[in-house]
Amino acid sequence: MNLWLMAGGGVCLSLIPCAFLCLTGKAERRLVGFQMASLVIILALVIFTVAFGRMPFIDIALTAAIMSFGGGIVFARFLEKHL
Amino acid sequence: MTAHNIVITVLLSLVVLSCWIGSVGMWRMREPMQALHYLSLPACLGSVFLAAAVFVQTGSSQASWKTVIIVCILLAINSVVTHATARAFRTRDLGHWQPRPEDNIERIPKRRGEPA
Amino acid sequence: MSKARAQHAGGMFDRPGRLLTGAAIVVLLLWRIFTDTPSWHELAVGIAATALTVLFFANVLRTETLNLKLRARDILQLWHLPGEILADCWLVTVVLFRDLFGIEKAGSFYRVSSFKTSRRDPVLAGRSALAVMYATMSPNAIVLGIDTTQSLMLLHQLRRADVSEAAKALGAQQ
Repeated sequence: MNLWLMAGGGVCLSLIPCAFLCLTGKAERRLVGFQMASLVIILALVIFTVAFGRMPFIDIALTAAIMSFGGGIVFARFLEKHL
Repeated sequence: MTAHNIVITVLLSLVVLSCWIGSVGMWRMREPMQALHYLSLPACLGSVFLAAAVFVQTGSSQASWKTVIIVCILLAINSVVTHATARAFRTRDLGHWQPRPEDNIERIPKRRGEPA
Repeated sequence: MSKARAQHAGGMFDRPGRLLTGAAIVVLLLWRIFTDTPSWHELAVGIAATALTVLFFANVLRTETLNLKLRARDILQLWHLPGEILADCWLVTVVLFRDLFGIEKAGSFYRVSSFKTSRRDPVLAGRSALAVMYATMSPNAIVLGIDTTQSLMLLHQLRRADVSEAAKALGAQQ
């Protein structure tokens, strides 16, 4: 157990309110919960990369950061026009 | 506990705190538009503290510079996605996002001393 | 140049050669940083990937009708942001705790501010885009858009506050 693992665990606990929002309520609230979950997961991926000492895995966090843009925009457009 | 460990502890605590305040704020707010504001906390504050922590831990390495790139992406992307999502919410509610006279939107007042 | 683009000439997309060359250099540099190796076979794949990227970017430039001109002076207005982001993070944290402890419910305010903008002027269009991005970065304000017909910027705020200094430098007028 090191500092980074503890921080990663702490950050992952903040996914609980995100999960609650994603599972309940109107579509708008679920989208906000999804976007917050994306952000928290990206930060958690960086933390766990350093915690386990597997530096090449930082590319996963980088890819997730780029892909979360596309996903967020697509959902927002869907919500505006089609849902 | 060395100074190095203390600095990393402080920085990581700030990252965890920003994620928690963001999540709790997002959950607590009644309207989705209010909840959107709390996305900025982990994106703008948490990510910067995390990049600093990675630099302190690993020095000037490929991982730390890639974390800086992640921070820049999060800062820019969060802003754009929040803007698009907020506009989508308003358009879904009202059918338009533009301010119209019938919406009765207040104008930000001039500060005293500022020219007209 | 397409007819639509010709009507709004003067933006950065009018010099596609320079843009594509710059894009090729940036992408190749990023490839080199990410692979972190000087071996020739990695570079060969990188050149192929760069060529594909530049081809795709050229197609986007050919079909894009939006015309923006981003000036260095406008981009550098982001120096206002660190202070504003820190101040707003504190503000939204206070709003949350006041709401959590029942002192005062969190507000939700739609507000407008005048904004000097134009659909035809690529410099003003570029400033509008930057103002939306910079003002939305700070937690207290979300810019929903800048209406070019009324020259108004529509924001949503958790607590009533002035327009950000970065947005003012880019054209917001209270």
